Amino acid sequence: MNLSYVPEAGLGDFVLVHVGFALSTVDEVEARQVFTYLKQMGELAELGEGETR
Amino acid sequence: MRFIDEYRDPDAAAGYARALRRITTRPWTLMEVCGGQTHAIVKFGVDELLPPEVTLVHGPGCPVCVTPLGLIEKAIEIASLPGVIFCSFGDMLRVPGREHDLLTVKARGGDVRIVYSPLDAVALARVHPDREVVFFAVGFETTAPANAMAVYQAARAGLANFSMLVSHVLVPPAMEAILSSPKCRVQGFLAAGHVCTVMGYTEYEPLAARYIVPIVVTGFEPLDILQGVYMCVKQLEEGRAEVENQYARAVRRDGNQPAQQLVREVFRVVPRKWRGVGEIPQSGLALARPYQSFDAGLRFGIAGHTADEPTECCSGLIMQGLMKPRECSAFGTRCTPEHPLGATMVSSEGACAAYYHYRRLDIPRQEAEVATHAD
Repeated sequence: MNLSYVPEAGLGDFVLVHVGFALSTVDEVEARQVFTYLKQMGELAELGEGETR
Repeated sequence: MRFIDEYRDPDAAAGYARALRRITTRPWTLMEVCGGQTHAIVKFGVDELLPPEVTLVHGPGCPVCVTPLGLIEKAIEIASLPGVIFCSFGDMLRVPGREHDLLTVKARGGDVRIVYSPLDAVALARVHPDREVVFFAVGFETTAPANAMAVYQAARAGLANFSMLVSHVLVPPAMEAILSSPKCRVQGFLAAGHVCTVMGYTEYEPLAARYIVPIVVTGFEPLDILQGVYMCVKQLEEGRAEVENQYARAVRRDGNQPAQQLVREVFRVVPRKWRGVGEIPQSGLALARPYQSFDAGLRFGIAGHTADEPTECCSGLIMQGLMKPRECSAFGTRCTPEHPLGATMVSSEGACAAYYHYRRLDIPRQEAEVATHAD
């Protein structure tokens, strides 16, 4: 995998890869917002585990 | 988190479906731009979770599908030349040209190879200095940085036996072409998340303002798409037309600057013909002048082909959101992935192929039989 385009990536980071090139590092805080958004709408009351998995 | 499975959580999906039903008061037609999203929608049945008022139509974001027939003919011609190693991503090989496809060239003894990265083609050029290695550079903004790097590395290494047949396309001009058509029925867009990892999303802001259309940068997993639809419908219901980012875990507003820089260095923006759609101004990339010696079309002196599309194929209407695959009378009968009439049935990202793989059993049996007999 070629890391030329994500010089900020470090050990343990997740990156998004396309045709052999990493294009973006995954932001772990933003990654949870799909669940926090639902929770704020009151549609994920019993689904707290979605946030921590 | 592992960033895949959690975005397929059925309870969360049901939550989004409920929330969407609560806010939807009238019919809305949204277009997902990217073929990867179309595939996920049909595979996971995301469309079946939506309220009946919300319709998803499928956009032109399948690079294999929009590569013009003339360029496929050009590829076939170059791949048939002695001494050429022709490299391509796998799904280009079965796209029908006028008479045959690249796979036929391979079957007849041509050296056609599937590669997973354009850098694999550069590596082949290094180990075969006596052969001409040609890479078929097809793709959207997401693939452009990889192809730019391949040319850049070949130039730095002085690899005179490497070249590229370029058919790069850009998303925002295609969205504008759809929006400016008098037949346009798209009221909101799910923009392609992966394109935006490279380009960011500032170029969508003038589109959203000019055409008063909400644009939500959206990811590729079922929950991403459901949230993208929710955000888009919410804007429509509230009378807003803004650019929002659902896929913030991977997309930053300004995109990937080092990648954009190399793309600007190696490529220039040109008008480009889209298969099934026609020519769209400033909608493609070609090699910039300092890199033109790597242009396979120029190197092999292959003139531009103008080939007519098979008249029966409706892919142009499908990719503009004017028709759904199953509304085509050839779908699943005279047109299948084994014998495709057009590229939307070939590519794994093509809308017709997605419906064929995941939904063809839904075709009423009688209808399918009648169509087969008429064959």
